[in-house]
Order: sequence, then C-alpha cells, then structure tokens
Amino acid sequence: MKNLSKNYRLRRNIGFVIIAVILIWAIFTFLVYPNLSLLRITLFPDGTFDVAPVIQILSSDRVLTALKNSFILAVSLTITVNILGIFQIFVLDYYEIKGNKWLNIAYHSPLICNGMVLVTAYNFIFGSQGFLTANLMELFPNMDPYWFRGFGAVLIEMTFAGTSNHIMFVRDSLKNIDYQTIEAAENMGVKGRRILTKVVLPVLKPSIFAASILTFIVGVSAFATPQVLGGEEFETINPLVRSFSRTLTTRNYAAVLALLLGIITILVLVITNHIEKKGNYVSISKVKTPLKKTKIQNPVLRWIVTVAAHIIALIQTVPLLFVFIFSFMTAGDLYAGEMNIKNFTLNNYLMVINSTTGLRPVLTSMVYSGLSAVLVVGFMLVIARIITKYNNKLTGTLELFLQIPWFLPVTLIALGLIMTFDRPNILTFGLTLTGTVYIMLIGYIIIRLPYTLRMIKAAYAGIDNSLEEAAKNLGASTVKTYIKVIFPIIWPEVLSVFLLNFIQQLSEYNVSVFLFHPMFQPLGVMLNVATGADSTPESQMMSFVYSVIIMVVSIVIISFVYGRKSATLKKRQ
Amino acid sequence: MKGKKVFAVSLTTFLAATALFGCGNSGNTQTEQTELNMEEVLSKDPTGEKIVVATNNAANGRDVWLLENAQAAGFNIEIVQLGGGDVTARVISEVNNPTINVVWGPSEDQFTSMIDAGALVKFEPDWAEEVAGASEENGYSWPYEIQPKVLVCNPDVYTEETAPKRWSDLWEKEEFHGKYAVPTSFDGNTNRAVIGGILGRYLDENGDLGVSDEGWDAIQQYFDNGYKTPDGEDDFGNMASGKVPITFTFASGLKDKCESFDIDPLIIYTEEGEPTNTNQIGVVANSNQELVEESMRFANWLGSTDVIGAYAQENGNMVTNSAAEDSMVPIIREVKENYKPADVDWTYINSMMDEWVAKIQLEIY
Amino acid sequence: MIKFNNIEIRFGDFAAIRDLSLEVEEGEFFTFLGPSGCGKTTTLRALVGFITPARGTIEVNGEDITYKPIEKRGIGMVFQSYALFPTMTVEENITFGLKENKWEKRAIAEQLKKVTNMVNLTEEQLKKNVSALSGGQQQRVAIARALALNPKIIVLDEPLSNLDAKLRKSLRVELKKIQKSSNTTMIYVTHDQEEALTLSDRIAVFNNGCIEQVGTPREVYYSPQSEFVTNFIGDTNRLSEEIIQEINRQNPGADLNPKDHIYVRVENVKEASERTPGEKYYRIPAVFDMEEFYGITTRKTFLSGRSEIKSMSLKNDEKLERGVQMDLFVNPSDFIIFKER
Repeated sequence: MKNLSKNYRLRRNIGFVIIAVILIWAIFTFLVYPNLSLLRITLFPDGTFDVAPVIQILSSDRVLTALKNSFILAVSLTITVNILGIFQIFVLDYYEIKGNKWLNIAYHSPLICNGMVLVTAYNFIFGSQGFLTANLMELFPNMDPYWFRGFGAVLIEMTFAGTSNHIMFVRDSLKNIDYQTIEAAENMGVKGRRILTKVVLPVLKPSIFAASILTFIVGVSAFATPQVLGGEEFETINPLVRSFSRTLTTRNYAAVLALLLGIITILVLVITNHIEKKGNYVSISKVKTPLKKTKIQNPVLRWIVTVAAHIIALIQTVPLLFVFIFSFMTAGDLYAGEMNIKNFTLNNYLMVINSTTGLRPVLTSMVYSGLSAVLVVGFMLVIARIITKYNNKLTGTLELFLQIPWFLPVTLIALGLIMTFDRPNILTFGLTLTGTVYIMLIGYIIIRLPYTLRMIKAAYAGIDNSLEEAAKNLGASTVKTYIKVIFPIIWPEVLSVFLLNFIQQLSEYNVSVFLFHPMFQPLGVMLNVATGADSTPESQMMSFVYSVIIMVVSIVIISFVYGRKSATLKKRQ
Repeated sequence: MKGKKVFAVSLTTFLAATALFGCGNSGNTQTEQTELNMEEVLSKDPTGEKIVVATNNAANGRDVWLLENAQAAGFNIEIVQLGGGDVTARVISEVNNPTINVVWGPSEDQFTSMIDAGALVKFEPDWAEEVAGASEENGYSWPYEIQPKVLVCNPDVYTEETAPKRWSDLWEKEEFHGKYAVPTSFDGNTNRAVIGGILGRYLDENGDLGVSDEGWDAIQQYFDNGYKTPDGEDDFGNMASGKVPITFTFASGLKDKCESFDIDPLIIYTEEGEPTNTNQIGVVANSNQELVEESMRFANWLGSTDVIGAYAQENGNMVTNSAAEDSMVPIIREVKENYKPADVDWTYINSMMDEWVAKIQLEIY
Repeated sequence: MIKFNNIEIRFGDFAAIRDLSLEVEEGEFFTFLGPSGCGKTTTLRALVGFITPARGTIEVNGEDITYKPIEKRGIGMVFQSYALFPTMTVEENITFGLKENKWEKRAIAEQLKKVTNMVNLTEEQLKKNVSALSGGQQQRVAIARALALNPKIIVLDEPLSNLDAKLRKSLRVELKKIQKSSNTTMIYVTHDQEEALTLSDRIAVFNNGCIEQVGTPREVYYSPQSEFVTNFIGDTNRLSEEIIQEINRQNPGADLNPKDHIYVRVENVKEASERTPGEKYYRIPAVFDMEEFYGITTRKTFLSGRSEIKSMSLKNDEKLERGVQMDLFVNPSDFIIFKER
C-alpha cells in the first residue's frame, strides 16, 4: 500500500524534477551567473568593495535629484496612465461612444512606434523649433518656445504612449465582467457612477494592479523621454546609468546606481506582491452575460466624453503621422520647422534601401523578435504554471530571480553575457556563445522575462481550479489537461503577450548593440546609429524611415494576431 | 511575512552566489603574435575571405561607396555601422571571441583602450611613412584622418574682430555668455576632445583627478554660461540661424553640415590651438591567421593614397596621408593650413577622460 | 462498495476530517448532508482523489484506491461550478473524457447520443459553445459529461445550488431517474435537507468533520441520533423551561425535567381540532402571533408566556387574528428528548 503511494508520487515527480533541473540550469547559467560575474568585476575590482563610487554618487546633487525625479515620475505616471487607460477602455467597451472603430485603432497606435522615435516626433512637433510651436509663435510672439519641456512634458508624452497594457490586458478583464452583476447593481438602485466604482472597478482591480506595476517600472527606468523632453529642469536617473555603463572606467558607477535603484524597486515589488496575494479573486459567475454598452444619459456629459475620447485619439495618432511625413522631408526643412511639400523626397528611403545592409535588418529583427517572443512566452508558460501551482519559498525565490532584468541596466546584462560566454564554459557544455547568432536571442529572451512572467501569471490566476480537476477526473493526464483545457483558455492573453514582446524587440537597441552578429544587424542598431552622437542631420532622417518600416511590420503583425485572437474569442460567445 | 521571507532567502542566495562565482573573466587568451613579414602579407592579392569592418564612417551612403570600391579591389567585406564608443566597447568585450576584423574610424584614445585590452594585432601599412607624425606611433593602429575641432560662428553676427579669439573667451567674456553651444552628451569624440582641450590646460598633479581647482572652475563656467542644445534642435542649425551663433564641429563634418544648413560660417582659429585627435584604422586579433592577414591587406588598401584621397574628396576629410592632401576639398584645405593643434598632453588627457567625464556628469553638468 | 476506513484529512494544522468511517452500497443514492464547512465536500474530494488523507484508507469494491491516480479511479464528478471547459462546445465537453480514454469514433457517437438523451439535451445545443447555454442547460451538460464514461460511481458536489427553485426541483427528479436508469452509485453533497430527503436512499449527516448519523431519510428524520441532527433536519421546536414547567404543573405525573432538551417537530404541535382521538396530549396555552401561508400548509408562530412555539398545520382556511388565545397540544410520544448532561 505504501509502495503504491510512493510509486505514484515518484512517477509524477520525475517529469517535474527534470523540468526543475533544466530550469535551474538555464536561470543560473544565463541570468544569475553572467550578471553576478559582471557585478563582481565592477564592484569588487581588486577583490574588495570599492566605496569611492558610492560616496561620489551619494554626494552628487545631480544624481540625488535625478533619483528623486525618477520616482516622482514613476508614481505620477502610474496615476496618470491608470486614469487615461481606464478612461480609454471604458470609452471602447463600456460606454456607447460614436466612432468606436476609429478610437479602437487610434488607442492601439502607440504600440507600433519605437519609443525613441516617438519622443523625437513629439519634439519636432511641440519642441522649441517644432511645427506646432512655430505656428503658435506666429500667433503669440511672446510665448516661451520651450513650453513643452520638463516634468509636465515628460509625463504627458509617457502617459499617452503608456496605455498599451491597459488596452491589451485590463480591457480583456473588463470584457469578461459578468453583465448580470451590473444589472444586479442597477436593480438594487445603484446609479451609473457608483456602479463603476463599486461593481466594475473592483473586478478590474487585479489587472489594473498588474498594469500599475508595469507602468511604475516603465517610469522608474524611463530613458528616451526624459532625455529628450526633460531638459535640464527634469533629469532622471536612467540616462546617467546608461551613459556610465558604456565606458569601462565608469561602469562601477552604473552598477552602484543600478543596485540602488534595484533595491528600491524590489521593495516596491515585494510590497505590491504582498498586497496582490491578498486581493486576488476569480469571478464566481456560472453563467456570464456579455457586457452591454451603456449610453451616458446626460447629454452634456456624453458630449464631453466623446470629444475627450477623440482628442486623445488624435494626440496618440498625430505624432505617428508626423513620423511618416518626416520620413519624406529633408533635414534642413525638418530642423527649420518648415514643411514644404514641394521639397518632399524619397531620398531618405533610397538611402536606406541602397545602403549596404538594405532591408536585411527588417528581416533580421523580425526573425529575432519573433523567435525570442515565442521562446520567452513558452518558457514562462511553464515557469508561471509552476509558480502559481506551487507557492512556496523556492518558487518565490525563482520568481525574484526572474525579475533580475528589471533591476539591472540592460547594458550590463548584455556585457555580462558577452564576457561570460566568450570562451568554452562548463555551464554551456563547452560551447562558446559570444560571436554566434544565438547570443542575441538569449539576450532578447532575458530582457523580456519579467514582463512575460507577470502577464502569464496573471492569466493563470484567472482560471477556475475545478476545470483542471474536472479534466483529470475525466481521465486526462496532467499534460493533456494542460494542452486541452488550460492552454486554450489563456490563449488570447498569450497572443497579446507575444505581440507586445515582438513589437518591443523589433527596435531593441541596448542589448543588440553588443550581441548582434555582424552579418545580421537588427533594426534597433541601424536606427540608433542613424541618430547617434557622431551622425549628421541627413543620416538622422534615416531613423524616420526605419521607424516607418517598424510601424508597417508592427501593423501587419498586429492585424494578423488580433485576427486570430478575436476569432478565438468570437468562438467562445 | 511571506514576502519578507522570500526576500531574505533570495538575498542570501544572491550573496552566497556572488562569493562563489565571482571571478569569471580575467585575463585574455590573446592569440600568439608571431612576427609577420609585412611586406609579404601586404604584397599578396586579396583572397576574398569575408571580413567584417566596423566603422563610424559609413553614414550618408558612404557605406555604399566603401563596399563598391572594396569589391572592385577584390575584397569581400561586411560593413557594420556603429558609433565609435560602441565599436570600442564591443571589440574590448569580445576580445576572446571576436566578430569584428577591421576597425575603421574611432579616435586614437579609443584605439589605445582596444590595444590595452589586447584586442588588436600589430601591423604596419605601406603608407606608414606618409602619415608619420600625425599621432604617436603605437605599432597597432594608424591614423588616416586628422580631426581638429573648430569653433564656428555665424558670419552675420560676428566678424573676425568681434568673434572670440580663444576658447576661454567664451566663458570669461560676458558678451559670449549664452551665445555658444556646449556638449550635451559625453560619448562622442568631438565632445570629449573639447573637454580635454579645456581641462588639459590645467593639469596639476595635486589637483582632483590631475586637474587644478582653477581648471574645474573653468569647465564649470564653460558649461554654466553655454547653451545646452536640446534634442530637436541642431547646434549647427542654431548657429546658421543666428539663434546661438557660436558652436563647434569636427573638421570632417564641416562640408556636410554647411551644405545641410546652407551657410558659409566664420571658422575661428584660436590662439591656444584646436583640440585635435586623429581617427585611425586597426586590425582585430583573431586566431584565424588568414583572416588577420586579409584584414591587414584591407586596412592597407583603405588607407592608401588613392583610396583615402578619393574618400576625402567625396566626404570632406582632412587626411593624414601627405600624398593625398591634394584631394581634400577647399574648405578643409583652408582649415588644414590655418589651424594649429592645441599643445596639451593628449596621452594623459585620454587616460583620464572617462573619470573626468564621470565627474562632470555627477558634479558639474 | 465504497468504504472509508478511519480517514483523517488535514489542511496544515487544521483537521478537516477526524477519523471518519463510512460504507456506501452499490446502486445507492447516498447523500452527504451538513452545513458549510462540515467536511462533506472534503470527504468527497478524497474519494475522487483531489485530496490524499493523512491517515486511513478508501476502498472501492475491495480495492484500496487511497493513492490511485485521479484519472484511473473511474469516478465521475459533477462540480458545483460545473467546471465546463469554456473553450469547447457542448459536444466537445461531453466527449472529452471519451477521447482521452481513446474510445472508438463510433462508440463515442453512440455514447454521446445516449447521454444527451438521458439529460434531455437537443442536437442543436450540442454544437453551441457552453457559455451560450443557460444555467440549467449547463448543469445538464455537466451531468452528461460525468455520465459519458459509464462510471460505476458519480459524485455530485452541490450541483443544483446555482439554479432557481423550480428548475432545481425538476432537475432533482430527473437526476433520480438518471441514477436509477443508469444504475450508478451516486454520492451527492448538499446542505439542503429537502434535497437530501427527497433524493437519497441513505443520508450521512456531517457536522464539524465527523458523521453524526447515517440512515435512510425516514430514520434520520424520525429517529435523529443527536441533537445536531434533530435541529438540522426538519423544523423543530425546543420546548423552553417555561413551557416544560407549565406542562409539569398541569399534568402531575408528567415529570419532565426542565433541564432536559426536549424537542417537538412543528407538525406535531396540534390545535384542538387536529388531535387524534384517544391519544394523550399535553395542553400548552398560547397566543397567536403570525403565520406563513404555503398553500398546502400554514406555519404558525405562537407565544406561550415569553416562549415561542411554532406549528405546521393543514388547517389553514381562516387567518387568525393576532393576539387570539389558542390552546396547543403536544403528544409526549412525539417528544425527542436529550437528557441533561
């Protein structure tokens, strides 16, 4: 009898042990070991910890202000993105607003544009010599040409560019709300706005929570936007970290700053993890009624909401349109803030196409992004499953390790990889990875780990446990249960995560620049070479061309993936 | 409670792991350097083996020019465009397993760090004598271009009389306050050379990081009274429009920038001389000897009088190769005749530059 | 057929089930009845295999299945939440287990027809996605899915709790029919005594991780073995000390101990006209307070002194005025007495 029980457990555990060993190997080899080696070299150059950089950093007013600013930005951004994001998803799915189809497209648009290019576009519109500013100056000659600069500008740009998690994930949970709960509330005499705050929002809480954490991380690690729009008035920490991480002698500053930032971020995450564990619940509805759109009764309010919804749509799409227009302009016109249609030219496109790399980077980036997005989602499907099923100290530690890429500057992660695997290594079974086509793939996977883990974990959390029990009860093995029951349920979320990963990686630069194989140069590197410090205004124009290419690729992929996603969802209704 | 425990466990694991697996990378497995017979290597025809050329000189269609000419000469190259700093960092970090074969374009101090990391091989091109004296010889990398950083002014705003005469005029004379652009980033060679040109005048063994208090004060004043060109504006464009009428540029940028903004600026030749460095070419060490030799042939070809001359004519470079000087464009020839290199200790300056830049970023900027 | 031998189930430090033993016969409709948190669902889940007991064994047909994998136990289950697979159609849900167990195509088709007939699902509903069905229909799918594998045992965890009263009643009848026609042993978990009494061949009344009593519906109703069962099943009055003393005063020789817990079911509290001739009754003077009119019966609440006493009677043609004096009668043979401890 006891034998029987042991046998059964052993058989079940063998698969688990194999997976666990592989996971531990992979995480240690690619995530923990390279980063620790690099931190060790930078922070303990002669075997002892060098305190000088810590003292220097802590006595620099600029650094302390930048640190403070980063956190102010992260906190404010979390608030504003939530307000805007929730407004957007309600406009799309909860209220009846005219022009829904267009709004839906517009609200997805920030997804497709590279962050650096988007903020550059903002600058060429709202900046001191931007088109809008130039036109406004003609009307109001006394206005400050630097009106769109500093904290406000950064916050506005990042808010309008930062709602994709709401559009992609929080929106799904709004769609999943049981309309009967709203009807019930109405029936109990609860009025419009209180239904929102008392019935609808609490159900959205877990997904809003997840989106908030992601937004917070985006805010803390903001790079492009503060760099371009912050000006001297509003400097954040990450541009400094990045600049320090690029030269050998100052790498220790970057490491110290990153650790400082990391510790604070870990604290925030641990606290939020704690809160999250308390407040997760699954819908208890047996028979869900699909969400019906509500008409806003008050005509004035309805008008205000409609106008606001469309203004937001314009703010999100116009910069992209400008990127498109810029790609046809000459550098002289662009910097002069003059739009002469007569001067429009295809030269920038020709320059890209005729360059020695031509359009190869597009293919390279698509392959790397696609492959890494599939792999990282695949791994996290397994790991998130283990973490959700076995909630203990070991899995808690595992989860924290997987969040390392959120705490370290990606430059350091790339350097760690390149320097660890530049010679045969026992951990890689004697293979050298540096200089191969694989190392960038590994890098791409690593930097998307934390985000993917969090999103997929959230997807698993929404599944009723009894489904799994039912499948087992009907004779399905653990693997079969997963493939046939669990996976199909989270498929739409998996597609969304894949999509976001893919699009983000299309223009990845920080890791790519160190890891790419010379025969396969990715788009992000081409784009940044075009805008780098040594580049001329003409070559900067090429960055708009690359951005247009990225947008086109993204749109194609989004429509493809969304087509499949909505087909799946439709089937379920 | 749970969160705390998890945190504690991971922190302990993390620390333990740091202690155990710290010293991963030290030393390098540089390939044995056998003395090559340069003449023999360079006299051979290109084998057509694929070599990877990393360069910051390939923007604006120059890559096409390079590829076509290299192919015509029998070379099979892949051009990788990267900024000078990125190329350097990458070559150094890949020292044990390089992917790049020829580096073309970074400045001598960047080459110095590559040499120090053991990433390059010794070689001597045919044209070594023609470039002699352009920079200190190290046996590894060779200068093909001189890159003085010159102050330029808007000719409608300043005349030769009213324009600054010295770099220090910019911050010492109130009339120039707010009228000149200062560096806003610190990874480009030009910006670093400008900083080096200023701080290099105040070297002091007893000062902080080898610079006297006076020097730190000067650089502080330089930044405080200058215009930090925001993204979305172009310093050269601002100069051309008169908004910020003084800026600086690297010499080889003059031709393109003047064309872009359609201006013929007033070029200042300062009393103390221009911060000047050279851009160089070098061959990356590799265990594949044939690849190394082909790379040397390519580098030798690229720096040769005809090739670099044609390149300079097209792109407005100031060549080191004395035999190719006639190919330079007029504006560059003019600069070459008039400028004088600042007389400072660039070897020392370059060795300190990273730390200076860090200090500037932390305390001054 | 099913035997629980001294099982103990723990969740961390908390013992949800302490030393429980029970036997269920083949073909029985057996109900686990008890309030929420009493351990009835836990025991059920141990039988199906979702929980492994800390001690004791579970046998089915003489085979120890305590550690047998869930999928090999051959016990069908209907979940409280139905647990229908939301990404599949009705048909896919029902045939899921058949496909997993590698049934032949034709056999699957036949079985599908058989079970859908049994639970009254139409052909057209089969092609629909489960989320497109109403609650009652979803419940039918869940039952069909459990039936499909022809299990010898089907367990049902509060399967009707999410349905409205009328649907619940009709499905109850169907369920009983299905059980008899398919000749399966069913174990049914509920907190609803009416369901338990109407459906079951036998009932186990759970309380606080233990079984209080096992018996037929009539046994647990008429001969409750514990005070908990008495209270939990049926509608009872506990006679207050005040009433007992009043009875003792009026009927010398009755000799009831006012400290004892004396219960009498509401239907055994009679009005004068309802008495069976020749029987001995104790009179309890009371004042009418309120009534609940059910149609067939009326439940009335009276006050005797400060004590409440309720009756259930078929006599309901006229509504009493509040405050009307009325004598109530109880027959000592209807008393359920638990001695003072």
